[in-house]
Amino acid sequence: MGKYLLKFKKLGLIRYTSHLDLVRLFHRAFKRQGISLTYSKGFNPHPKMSFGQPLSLGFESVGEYLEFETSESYEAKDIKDMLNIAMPDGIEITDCWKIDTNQKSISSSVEWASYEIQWDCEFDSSLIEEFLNQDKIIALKRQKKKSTMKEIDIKPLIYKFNKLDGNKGLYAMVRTGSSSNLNPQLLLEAFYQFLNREYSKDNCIIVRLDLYNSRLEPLSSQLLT
Amino acid sequence: MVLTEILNKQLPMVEKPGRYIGGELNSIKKDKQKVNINFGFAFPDTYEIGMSYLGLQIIYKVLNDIDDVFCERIFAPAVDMEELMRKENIPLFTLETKTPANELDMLGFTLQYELSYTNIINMLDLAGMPLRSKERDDDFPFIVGGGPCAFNPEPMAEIFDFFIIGDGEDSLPQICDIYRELKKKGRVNRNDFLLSITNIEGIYVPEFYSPVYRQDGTIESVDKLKENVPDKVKKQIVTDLSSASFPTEPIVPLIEVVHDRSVMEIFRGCTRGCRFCQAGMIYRPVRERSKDCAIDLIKEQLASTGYDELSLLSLSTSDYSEFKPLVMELMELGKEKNVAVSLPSLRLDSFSFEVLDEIQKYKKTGLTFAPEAGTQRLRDVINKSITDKDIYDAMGHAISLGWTNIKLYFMIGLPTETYEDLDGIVEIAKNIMDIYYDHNKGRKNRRFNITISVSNFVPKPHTPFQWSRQDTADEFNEKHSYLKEKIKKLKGVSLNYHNTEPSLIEAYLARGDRRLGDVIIKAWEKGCKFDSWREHFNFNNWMKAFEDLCIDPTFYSSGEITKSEVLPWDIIDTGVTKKYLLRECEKALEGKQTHDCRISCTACGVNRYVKCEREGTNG
Ligand code: SF4
Repeated sequence: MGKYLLKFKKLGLIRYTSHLDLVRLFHRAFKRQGISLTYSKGFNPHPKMSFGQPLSLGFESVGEYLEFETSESYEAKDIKDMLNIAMPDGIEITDCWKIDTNQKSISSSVEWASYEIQWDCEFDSSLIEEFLNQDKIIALKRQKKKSTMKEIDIKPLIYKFNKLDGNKGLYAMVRTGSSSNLNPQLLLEAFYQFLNREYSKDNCIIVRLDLYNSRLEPLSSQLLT
Repeated sequence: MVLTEILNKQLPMVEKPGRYIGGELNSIKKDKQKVNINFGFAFPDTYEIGMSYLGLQIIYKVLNDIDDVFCERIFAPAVDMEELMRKENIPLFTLETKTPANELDMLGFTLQYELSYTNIINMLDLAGMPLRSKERDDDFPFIVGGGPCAFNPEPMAEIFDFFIIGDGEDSLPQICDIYRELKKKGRVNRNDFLLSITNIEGIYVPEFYSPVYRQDGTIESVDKLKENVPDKVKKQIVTDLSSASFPTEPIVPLIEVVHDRSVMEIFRGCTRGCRFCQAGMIYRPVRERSKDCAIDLIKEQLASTGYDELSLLSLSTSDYSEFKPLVMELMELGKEKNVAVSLPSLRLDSFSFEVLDEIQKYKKTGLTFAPEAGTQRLRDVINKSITDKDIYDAMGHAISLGWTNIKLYFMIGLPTETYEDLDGIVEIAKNIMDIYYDHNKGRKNRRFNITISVSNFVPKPHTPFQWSRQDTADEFNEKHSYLKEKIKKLKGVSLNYHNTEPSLIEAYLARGDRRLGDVIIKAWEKGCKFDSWREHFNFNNWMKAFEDLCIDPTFYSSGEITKSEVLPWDIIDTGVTKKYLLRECEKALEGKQTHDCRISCTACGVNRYVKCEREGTNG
């Protein structure tokens, strides 16, 4: 028996695969390497494996997390090495930690995420301040299972939003998780609108940097100590 | 490299961008500068369809196993991607290294179905290549075709440089050898290369032959334009499947594809001799992979992919000589490794039921069965050796084991068919329903249902029905409505049928001659592509293309062909003799069956070239 947390990168063209594709990919990687996952009990057993927070199709990441339980015990380093052999181009496991089997789910503690938005932006930094200083920051969000759009105020969901040095792009730290979530694309749309420009999905590459808990600590920091 | 960057930026704009990225586990990258031959394997349909096709994985392995050959994959871009490519000037590219297709040495298309021909034209155009062979000089890659439709290469003869007839496992390396030799001496000259490869078994170079037509459109003769090329092109046959190359490390797709699982081809060919079936004729004789070999390869495949599903591939799984022991071992393996086993095209006897019951235990997803024709008379005509009793016994068995979804496959428009045969289809559905009611003590249950799936007969080259006429559109449509009316009245029975128009185009192309090349190009110019996709198929454009070129399409479908006529595909020798096909055709009209050649040889002729390992083994 063992419980583990993986950290991995998703870079390059593989960003065009979906979250479900990634779930399938890890299933197969475990199976291929003979790492036996623990299955849930019940009518429709499924392996105990959960991702920190699904990554949108098209995003890159250097800070993805996967938590899983195995029916045998392995060295964390062995798991990392074994899985890396079975990964396609663009996915790399950077860390693997063994965690206490009694510890509560790490993935459910995700509250914030940071992103780098690669965009050669030519505008004055003061515009970001102006944007953030609005009373409300209105964005149009597509409603679940409906085609209608709803106006929401995303201001409380933004922790940081600033320009990176040397016009390389933007940095954003926003709410994420099951209770409340801000897709950085929505933030960008709102910002583009503020700049009187039209946002299109091919304008920039969004890279997730890391996931954080409610105390704004990176998920892995809890394990490093 | 540049192309990768463009794609990286542009792909968010298209649907399912994962189709165009490559980089899957077990896909191969080689240094393009260090190899002698850059080959592109092109599948003229989308990624999801192409990646479900085992032949691709076989060829990929065969070629990449050769050190100085690099085989990459190419698929047809979906319509939205094509639009983007044309707008951004992105040429057709390989998935592995994003190399423009026209920079390759050879580009090989697999011809799996006639309705993909316009996609081939479209892909050549996207690659920036002239469409016709004679318009391409030494600077362009050789365009080669293979697969079942290459057994009548004539409709695409003006487009392709050469065709590989039969199994490609051995001929492709031979072709590469010749290419390498010529390359060593400098530039590869088109004519030298094409002439040299005609020495390889199964290679057909259309430009060395010229058909002479009569006034009425039939073929008078075929002139050979080079002295040393073969009179007839004999298909290449891999004799020992167990020692043939098989993908032990298949590419594992990143996105969901149609069949996303481990696949084992247990044998090639079929001994049954159904008279409408092209595969059953052109892949003769049966060549089996030994059970131990199959099991070993399956284990390797599972270990290199991590798949949790496994399927067998053959024309008729139950006919495998070691079927029972193989299945028992697979079931064990499945349990041990937590892999689901699926067994397609089973004959529904009691052993199969035992196995299916075990496999589908709680989730009885559905049972398929193919009587093909509604009456015993017509089944005798087409040589489908199933009796009414077989059907009802099997269905009774299925019902008692708890199956509630039954799918039955039929073909309509078969030679000699009358409305009585259609009534027979309805009758079968009705009788199965009655068996169900009896079993359920007269109580109805909305959960039990039967689907009748009807396809339209298309006469195919190299079959005993190659001379038969196809029903006209009106005849097909009338039959469809007739069945619809009758089946509407049966509760719990539903009817699916294929549209008429695509089956007509399929028939024109299947038995077409060289003059159809222009029609295919014209149809593409008018916008035809993805013809096998209901939402893209455009019958009117096809008809206009025929009209523009003053060719009457019904010439290829409606008239019974005279037996003595020279047929466009006579140039191809499948090993099965015309004499045999004629005899089978006559027996069909007399309603006489021909037995399975596992009982004893029925003299199809292929044993002139190769020993038949299953001849008489069940005698
Ligand atoms: S030669 Fe005889 S045994 Fe061989 S495939 Fe033909 S009919 Fe069957």
